[in-house]
Amino acid sequence: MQKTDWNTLSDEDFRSQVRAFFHANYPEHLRYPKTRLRWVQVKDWYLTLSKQGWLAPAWPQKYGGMGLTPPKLLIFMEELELHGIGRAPDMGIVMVGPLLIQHGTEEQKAYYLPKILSGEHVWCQGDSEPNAGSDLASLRTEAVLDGDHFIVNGQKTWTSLAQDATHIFMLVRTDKKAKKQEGISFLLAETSTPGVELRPIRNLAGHEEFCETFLRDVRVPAANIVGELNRCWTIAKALLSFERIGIGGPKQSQYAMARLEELALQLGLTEDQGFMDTYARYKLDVLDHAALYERFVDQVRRGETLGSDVSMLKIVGTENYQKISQLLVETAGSAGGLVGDVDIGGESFDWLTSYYNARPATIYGGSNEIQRNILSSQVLGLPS
Amino acid sequence: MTDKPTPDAAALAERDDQVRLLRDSVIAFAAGRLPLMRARKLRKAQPEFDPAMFAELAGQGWAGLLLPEEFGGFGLGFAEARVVIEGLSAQLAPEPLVPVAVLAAGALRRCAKSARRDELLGALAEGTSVPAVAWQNVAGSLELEQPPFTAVRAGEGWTLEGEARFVRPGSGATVYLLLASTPEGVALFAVEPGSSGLEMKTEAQADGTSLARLRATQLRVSAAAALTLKREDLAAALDEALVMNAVELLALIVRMRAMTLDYLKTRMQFGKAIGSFQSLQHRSADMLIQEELTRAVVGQAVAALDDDVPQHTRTSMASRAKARAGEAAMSTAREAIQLHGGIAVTDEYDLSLYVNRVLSLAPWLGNAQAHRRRYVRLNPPVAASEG
Repeated sequence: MQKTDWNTLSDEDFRSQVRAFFHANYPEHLRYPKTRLRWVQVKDWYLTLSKQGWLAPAWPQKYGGMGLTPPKLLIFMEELELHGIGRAPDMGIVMVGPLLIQHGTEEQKAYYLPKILSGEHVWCQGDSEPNAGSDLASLRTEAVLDGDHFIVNGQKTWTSLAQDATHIFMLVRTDKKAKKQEGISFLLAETSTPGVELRPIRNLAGHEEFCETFLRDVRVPAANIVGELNRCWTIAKALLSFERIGIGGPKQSQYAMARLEELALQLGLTEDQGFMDTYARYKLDVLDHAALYERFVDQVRRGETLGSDVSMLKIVGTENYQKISQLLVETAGSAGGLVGDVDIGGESFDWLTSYYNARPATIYGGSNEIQRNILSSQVLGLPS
Repeated sequence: MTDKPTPDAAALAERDDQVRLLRDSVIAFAAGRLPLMRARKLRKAQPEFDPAMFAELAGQGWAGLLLPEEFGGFGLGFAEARVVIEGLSAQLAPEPLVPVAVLAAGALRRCAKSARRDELLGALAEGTSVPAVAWQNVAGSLELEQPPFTAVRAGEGWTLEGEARFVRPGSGATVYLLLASTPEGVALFAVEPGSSGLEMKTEAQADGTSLARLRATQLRVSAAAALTLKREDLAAALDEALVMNAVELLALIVRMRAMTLDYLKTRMQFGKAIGSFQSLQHRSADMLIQEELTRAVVGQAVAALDDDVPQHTRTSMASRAKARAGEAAMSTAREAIQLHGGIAVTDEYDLSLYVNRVLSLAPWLGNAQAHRRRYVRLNPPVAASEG
């Protein structure tokens, strides 16, 4: 495969090439999916991206990535969103890959990275536990060394799409005597290892997108530790903060707002001052969030590192999304509780899916309360 | 993503430097010459600002900042005007820079060329004239379809009838520019206070300044006083004033939030700083978010004015800026008071000056609700096609 340095293209050229490829290759029926796509639905697209060399836009080229600079990466992500491309089970690409590239051994990189790119390995993330959510550092899943293996016991939860995963990367406690944040390590395991048991969790919407993962005397090779033993908490925090600008964008609320506008038109609400006043408020909330998002994007374009203040993007974006999706349900009136596609004046609306999708948004990726803690301690300097 | 050519990076950097230098000199000036005690003392003064200080601001070049050099101005842009207005607003200076240097200057420079117009612009830049635009009817409409006054020809001159409200500054203006409909369209009529047929009342505002209410009954004016302009040109000047009004509000938000943050870090209760309590921390985080949303929108609106965007975009941006700044200023005032506790409802504590200024500036030129409605009137819901 010919290696192109995408970063030498002008932004416009790069954008138009990316857009053309997405238009030509992404399956039409998977655009704007209502729920998370399963591996069986999205595997072909995953492999198409892989063949194109575009599966891992942020990885360095020497590991099979595109090696995009942050500004180019942003364009890539904007075009993904613009075309309504569904998220594949991508933990290998966005989490495990960067983790290994930064902290893995040469053997780990040589073994795992190509298998992520080929789709042979599909990863899920084992961070949260039933008693370690916002307080992740209190996790209790334990890995005890026994010769050249760790014996793992514990329970992980909210492991998204674990049903589709061949591998899991976990935060485990490897030193019980150390302080809470110390004694935590990254461990890689195959989900087919004896003792790993999955139980899908049915969510509010009735879908099974995440699992509980039970670990009973699971034997994992000691070589599967990533980075330094007992010293992974700072790495874990860095990985989590990486999520924050990604989940702080305005696209979800913009999409919900567009649906609200169409519903209002179908129902003839544009003369209803009560509705229009709330609508106007939310509309400007979305536009102003986009303006704030642009400020952070400009920072990325200038090559600056984002500070803790990026937390505010996630708070504003997800809370807007929730308000709008709730207004959609309320605007539907007596039909608000109807499941699935509902016909309104010849057009179909599915307000419950948007309502359901908006619920966990304020919880995952660090709950909005945690984000407010971050703002008050790290940006405002308020005492603890 | 615009298709506009990217401005030359060196030119942009030079502009940034110029703005930064100006900001430094404004901050230095404000620190030395505009202490809060001055603003406190000027409350309810007649006139409501210090004419000598206004002349001094003009001497700094700030009255004519936006005016072209041919009128004695500096031909600078809104990024520069922003830092001056921010600096003065933060110190609660009652000198009417936005009403005069932005609204009146913006309206006058768009009027058809005449000797009277040029004379007024020159005096404005020098600080010897303080014009106030009377453009809003008694109902306070933001539209220009029903001007407050009607002008009919009378011999060589005109006769005006009608009533305007919400005119700033309410006192101390040396000339009023009365917006009147004429058989040909609209015009601003330059009329001196005290003219026979012009009745003036002031309505006191929360911050100790006032708004003028002007009634014209058989008001006779000369032909030379009629300064004609197009409605859309006055609308452009009003958009500029709105954005700069949002800038003033942003400066107030910044100060109120900073005062509150200091207080949370120093006020002790239950044996610790009250800023260590999570409920107050989260409210502080929300105040920060409102400030940053305002800063983001105001930044875009200022850039839109400097980029001379199409009229629809400019007016929409101006409404967005005012809607956000007005709402955020009111909510910041409310939260600042609550987080301070009892001290905040005393006149002696300076927060009261800021709260009262917000109460005077947020409703001017239309409050947040009025501008959310105007935005939606300009940009009604549309059926967007997916993708």
